[in-house]
Amino acid sequence: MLELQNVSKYYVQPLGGVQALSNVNLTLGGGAEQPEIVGLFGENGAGKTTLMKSILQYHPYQGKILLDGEKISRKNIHRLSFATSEHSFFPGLTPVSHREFYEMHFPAFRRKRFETLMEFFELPMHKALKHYSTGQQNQFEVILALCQGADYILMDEPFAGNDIFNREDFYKVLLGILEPSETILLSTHLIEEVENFIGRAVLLHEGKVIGDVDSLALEEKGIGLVDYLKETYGYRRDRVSKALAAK
Amino acid sequence: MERFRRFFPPGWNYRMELRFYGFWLLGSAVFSLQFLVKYCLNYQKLFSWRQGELVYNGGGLIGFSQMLEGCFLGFWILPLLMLLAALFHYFYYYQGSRSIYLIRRLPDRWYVFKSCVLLPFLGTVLSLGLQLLLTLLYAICYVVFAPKIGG
Repeated sequence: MLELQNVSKYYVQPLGGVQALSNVNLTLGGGAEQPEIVGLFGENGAGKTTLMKSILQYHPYQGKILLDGEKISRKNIHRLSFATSEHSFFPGLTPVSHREFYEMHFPAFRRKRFETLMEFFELPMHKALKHYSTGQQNQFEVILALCQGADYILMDEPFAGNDIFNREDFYKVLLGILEPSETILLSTHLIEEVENFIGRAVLLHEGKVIGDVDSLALEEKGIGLVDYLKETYGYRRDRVSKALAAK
Repeated sequence: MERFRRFFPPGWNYRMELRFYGFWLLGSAVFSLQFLVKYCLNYQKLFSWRQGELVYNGGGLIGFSQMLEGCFLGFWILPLLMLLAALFHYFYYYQGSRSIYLIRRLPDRWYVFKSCVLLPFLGTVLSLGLQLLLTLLYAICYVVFAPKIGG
């Protein structure tokens, strides 16, 4: 189980700082019988990336983040993987070299899944990543995160640059290949696309968790995820008509 | 050379860098041979030909440290280049992508040190070691071949 307890993050800036996260409490994973896919939603600047980077210990923060009761350190960091829109691969290396690197450093690397996903996305194995298109690079970034052998896979806007056919097929493949021990935390703006395959939605607004709901609970209430988000964020339905009326 | 690959960031052109160090060390060693040139020139000044005979003019060689001055310049520059190399190695993890995010998640806490700093550090030690060895050799030459006054 991944636990965030009163996690806060303040960025100091020359002309006044930014409270990026404010007392975030969240629990992910923890003995589920099936893989958990958690959607992390929020407007730009809500704190989604900061939340993920705090979990990964990329910067200091206040509060506690525990993995099965222990602080995250080099001993257990291999249980977390990360796919970022900034890309974390080595541009000069081929996918084959990346596989070798991952196998050397992450003993639980899933080689079969790697080969399956490379074939699914039709990505060349022996071409350096710097020669891939942006969409292909995004796909490879996701593949590495899924194949590291981690229990918690954090994905920060992973589908940018992918065409819709690739995305839809990918969601189906993802549901099929994940194991019960795996938890995905996925931040995306493509709410309508992911609402049918995520099991839970966490909503961030100005660094705070303002919503945390199961997909099943929404289904029982007869509310779609988009409507739930609009309701929670206080979306003004008349903003478009007002803007057009003022014209 | 393949065994040195792990001491560089993945994808780095380590062969070119190693060749550069090799040539620089070789060049520095060759540059230091100016000690022998200085030695010979200084030695020659102690003698002159008079009536077909080589006569000692008196005096002695200039001091060993004075003779050695500037000879090891190449060896002193190399550690500075190694320091630059270590910085370039580290900033490589920010070029073209943010592979630093991956590096910071590796279970091996020494990976950044091993891939960025270790080889430049060892290169510096090697450079200083070679410099020491050459200093010793030149000191032996200086002592052994110096003219014995009164002899």
